[in-house]
Amino acid sequence: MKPSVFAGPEGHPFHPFVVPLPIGAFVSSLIFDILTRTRADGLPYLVDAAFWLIGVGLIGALIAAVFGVLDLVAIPRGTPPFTTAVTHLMLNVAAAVLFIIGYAWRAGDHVELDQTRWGQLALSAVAVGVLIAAVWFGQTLTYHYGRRVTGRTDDGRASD
Amino acid sequence: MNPLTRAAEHIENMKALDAPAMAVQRAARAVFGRGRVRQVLAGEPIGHPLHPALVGVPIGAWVSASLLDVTGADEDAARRLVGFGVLAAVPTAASGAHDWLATEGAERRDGFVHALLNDLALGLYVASWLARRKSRRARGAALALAGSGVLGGGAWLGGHLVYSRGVGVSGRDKLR
Repeated sequence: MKPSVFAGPEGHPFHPFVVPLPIGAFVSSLIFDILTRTRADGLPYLVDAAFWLIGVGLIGALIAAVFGVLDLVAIPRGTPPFTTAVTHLMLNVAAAVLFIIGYAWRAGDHVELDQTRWGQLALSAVAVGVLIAAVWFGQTLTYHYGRRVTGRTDDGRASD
Repeated sequence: MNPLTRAAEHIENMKALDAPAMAVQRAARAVFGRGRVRQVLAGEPIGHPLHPALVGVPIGAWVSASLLDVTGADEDAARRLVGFGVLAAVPTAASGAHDWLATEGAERRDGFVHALLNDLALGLYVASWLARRKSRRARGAALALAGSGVLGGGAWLGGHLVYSRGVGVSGRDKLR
């Protein structure tokens, strides 16, 4: 099955082009959390920015998910790349849920804090870990199964 | 054919790029050597190319900085995002350079221009960071926007290398 035209033209899928925004926003958010903990008096503006970056990451993740699902539904059911794609999706959903919890938690107290709470930092660290695992499965789709790569068939084997 | 694809084909046929590209490859081979660092840059521990896994970090940090500029929010946070992106770009560029060493012909030309564009973008972001450190936010924001435009071109060529030409995709050599 051919991917939808909305998933990007042959040889130029949209999904990998939009994933950097949420990845970079989430990782930067965690880096900021860590930075607020490197000073005794904290860095209140980075507590705010870390909260804001989770919001940017969640919006970016939603856009990435739309294009990702368009690529997913083009894979024949029950094949190894389909299982890999579902795993990739599930891990990303898990990471997003963790970040949504973190966002809601921070919404109540980021204005008054000078340092990100340890619990909030730990939650983001776990979420980034899950995200890295999700990226790895996404890479398997591209670099092992050749999904959306010109000259590959749907089951990931050479076209001839 | 869309203009972007035409641009890529134009680059792929630019034989004038071969001499400088090969000179850079020779120099880079000497720098990378054959040790553990090279295995890590290649992504051997994770079983996939490392470079495409890293690109999200600098790109996302830099685009987020421009979003912060647009919303007029905290300028110190935007400066730190630009700085973090610059730091993250270093291992990203090193792993990309490693992958490029194995390419030749049209892909070496594409990869060379991909690297030149991204290095130019990196330079613009370094300039943006320096401007922000002197509290010249408007200048820093403009430099970052220019950087994101150049970066978009570089990223597009990177996507072309993987998804149109199959660089880094396993079993590709058997395919041809």
